[in-house]
Amino acid sequence: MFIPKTPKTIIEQLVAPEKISVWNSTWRRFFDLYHAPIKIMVGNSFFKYGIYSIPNNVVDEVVSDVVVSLNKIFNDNLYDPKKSRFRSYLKTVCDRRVVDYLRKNVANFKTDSIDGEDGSVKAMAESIAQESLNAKLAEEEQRAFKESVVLDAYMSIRHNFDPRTCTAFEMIKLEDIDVEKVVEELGVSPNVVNNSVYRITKKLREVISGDPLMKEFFDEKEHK
Amino acid sequence: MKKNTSKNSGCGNADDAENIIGELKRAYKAINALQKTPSHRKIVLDVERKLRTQKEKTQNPSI
Repeated sequence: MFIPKTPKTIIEQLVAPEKISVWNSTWRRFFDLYHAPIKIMVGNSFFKYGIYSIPNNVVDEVVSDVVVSLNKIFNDNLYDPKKSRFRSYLKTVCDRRVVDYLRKNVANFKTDSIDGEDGSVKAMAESIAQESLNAKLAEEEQRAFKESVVLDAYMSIRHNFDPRTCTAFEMIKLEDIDVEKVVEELGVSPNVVNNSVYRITKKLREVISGDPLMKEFFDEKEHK
Repeated sequence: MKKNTSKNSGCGNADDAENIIGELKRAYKAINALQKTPSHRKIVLDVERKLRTQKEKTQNPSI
């Protein structure tokens, strides 16, 4: 019996060893899913270089430069998943585009100087604060990336189910709508609704646990 | 032992499922909200413009 293979998520397709050339046809979907972590990584890079208040239009411009860079990277097969994790690689790309922007616009940005009358004490205090801040920024990036990865997984399996099943699942689990309302809206029994939720949840777990890129985010409990 | 293992495995699977659904819900709300913003649309248009410019430069190096 032929069992169709689970469709790959966007990120899985982009980093596949066999280099399936999908960037040109999927970059918009990639951006829809990964806009949030890219934006956070860009903002955090500015923060790292001492720029604490960035106009939104500047962040947007750098984010678009990141996507253009990714276009070249994936079209020219420049990313090697054996050398680094995609999240780290993406962060490096974001950081480099921020540096490029700062170099071109150096006159518009001035960082706060840490030199003062009590320079060394202030520097030490800032260093300690900076370490804890860096940890918080990294956690924020990881959270956003993890959310994008999970949504990517869901979008890759969504079309395997009929629209009523997907709609029931989304209404119950993602939009917090009561079962009674879903039953009335879709014209189905509560059993059908519960079965929809069960089937999609089960498939989602299978996709995530079968993908090393995604599994790393959900193995935290086992490693603690 | 087998029964206990399967029971524990069942609890673990339920926790995993709740964990995943929780992440998906947060992602769904956050990313849907972001996709509706003018910022998101503007960035897509900006990327398209930059890619077109790059392509034109590649095809006409004299530009």
